[in-house]
Amino acid sequence: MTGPGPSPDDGPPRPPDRASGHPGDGRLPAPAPTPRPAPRVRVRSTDPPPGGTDPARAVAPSGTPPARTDDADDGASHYTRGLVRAQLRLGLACVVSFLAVVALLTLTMSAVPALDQVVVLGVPLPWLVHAYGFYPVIVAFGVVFAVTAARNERRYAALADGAAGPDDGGAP
Amino acid sequence: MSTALPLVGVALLLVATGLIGFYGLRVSRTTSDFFVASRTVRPVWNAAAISGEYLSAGTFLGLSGLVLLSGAEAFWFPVGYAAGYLLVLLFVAGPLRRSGAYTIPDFVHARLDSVVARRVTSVLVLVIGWLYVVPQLHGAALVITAVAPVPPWVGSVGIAVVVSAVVAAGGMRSITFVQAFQFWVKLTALTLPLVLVLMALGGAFEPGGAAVTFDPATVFPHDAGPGGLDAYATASLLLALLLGTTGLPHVLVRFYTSPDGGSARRTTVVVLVMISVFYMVSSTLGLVARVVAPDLARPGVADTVVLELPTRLVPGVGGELLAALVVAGAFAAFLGTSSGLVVALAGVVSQDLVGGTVRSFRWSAVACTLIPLAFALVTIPQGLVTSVGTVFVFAASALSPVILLGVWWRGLTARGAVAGMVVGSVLCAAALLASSALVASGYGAGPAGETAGGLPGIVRALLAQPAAWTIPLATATVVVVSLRDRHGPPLRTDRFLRRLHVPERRRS
Repeated sequence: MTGPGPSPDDGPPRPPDRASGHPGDGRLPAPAPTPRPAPRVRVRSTDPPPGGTDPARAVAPSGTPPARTDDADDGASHYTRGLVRAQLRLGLACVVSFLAVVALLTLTMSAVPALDQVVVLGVPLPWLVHAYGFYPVIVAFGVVFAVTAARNERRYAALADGAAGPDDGGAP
Repeated sequence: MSTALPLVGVALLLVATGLIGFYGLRVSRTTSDFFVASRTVRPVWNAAAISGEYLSAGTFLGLSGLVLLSGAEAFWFPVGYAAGYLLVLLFVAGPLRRSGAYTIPDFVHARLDSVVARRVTSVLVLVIGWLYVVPQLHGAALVITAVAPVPPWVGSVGIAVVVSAVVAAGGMRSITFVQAFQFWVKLTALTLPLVLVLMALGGAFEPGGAAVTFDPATVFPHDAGPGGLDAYATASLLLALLLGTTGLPHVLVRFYTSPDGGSARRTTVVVLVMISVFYMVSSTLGLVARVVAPDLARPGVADTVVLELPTRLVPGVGGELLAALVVAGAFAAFLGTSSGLVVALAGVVSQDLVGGTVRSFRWSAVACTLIPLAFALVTIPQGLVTSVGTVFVFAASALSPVILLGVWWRGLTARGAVAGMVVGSVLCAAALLASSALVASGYGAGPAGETAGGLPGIVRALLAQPAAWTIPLATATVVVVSLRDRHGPPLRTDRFLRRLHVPERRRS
């Protein structure tokens, strides 16, 4: 079988990025002995320092060595955690505000009896709101999320490039 | 309604499907082509294909049927289906595309590094998929008996044969083209009749040009409208539909055909627009049905109302042609959803049970059609849109918590995932079975929630709409068991999560 074939042993993780051998890999300068300069790390994140607040780590020390020796890219992985948090916050903010709008629309159309008297093209207004009112909201939230998520990723890419840049120069 | 025209419509649809399927066969050469169309499907094609697959018999026929039957509460289903896709976009579209897995079991296996978790996921995926195919086959039986003097099984068997043939012949690549085509067939098959039906209501085909008159308060009574809303049932159903989409096998497999995570997100936005337009059209037909065809508001018959509207309102051969178009569109709905599901299921079966080769995929496709067909032939069709909704409830309880936590929580462990999937699926299945047993034995929930048979209304409501408690319980199980798991999350978790969330350009 060729390519990313779907055999059972191929489903699980691809070979680790480094093992597949990208000498010019900008993010994973494997032999890089120099740790990232600390000031860079503080540029972006508004979150607690890496590794500090993970409950799973706290209760499961045995199976998880605290430091991955092959993860030589501390700086980039810090940015990565920032990216993940930013995307999660964005998703949660979108879903919470979406639910708030849905609740508001639902309350309006179901709890205001006066609206039943408003008839447009033969259909009472609450029926029309229920049949059509939610879709523009859904699409609007979808567009806002897609645009903002792409912006988060661009910002991440710029930061990670900035962090990796000096090391890349020396890589073959 | 005459018999000949609708059958010609279906025949044309089948011929077109076959041609596109075999065109696809010519371009799908490798195993990878078969499974995920080599990840080179253009966004608009892909979005149309996703929509074509997502819009099933439930919303093509069932939605207007349920609007006719029980009023505005039916609108929650399409709203929930569309909002469920919004949640897919917000939380899983990009990351799952980047995971590089083909199926949900692949994803769980890669994330948790556990074959047991993979097997449990595979079983749930198969159950969900089969349950989802059954209403499609029921819909085919319903439509075929409405247009031709044949027994209902002809429709179910016909769809099953075409689906397994197309999937086995062409795999995902041809399915993508077939479904993109079928999306446009479905949309046209509802929109064109809707426009003409609305013109008829406005009096365009009457000699005097008189519009149809009716009393809004009778046709759209307050109690059947949004005013008569049951807070618990609505909230629970919406929660299930919101989260259920994430757990559907054929929805996730579609993202693997996008070239990268960003394009998976953009594709999903286009999907949101496409399915929203379709749902609005279908909802409008439901409103029209309440005006024109109150006599069809009976269980079992209501779901055929879309087929009746054109001939009732548009005179002469025009109405007959429109009806034939609707029938063809309905078959496109059955075919599109079933073939997407069968592709996803056959992928799971062939990778988990047999070698993952093209030949095993073909046999798996046939097997994955025969099992739901057998089930469809021995069961009695319920309301189409509610049957599909039930599958969402099950998917949301069984799979969605694990998928969402797998993407976003690094503490997830294999034991936690397995425990959560088992708890969610068992509780949900038990509640739904108990509820249908209650209904069958005459103790079902009355519309006013009154106490009958000594069982309080709240218990019946909790059993009939279990999502509001099964999803939190399943999620809590996943979290608690994961936290107490001495083995902790797999070693590669951080690396895998980074792969999910970091843009592709940065990774290679």
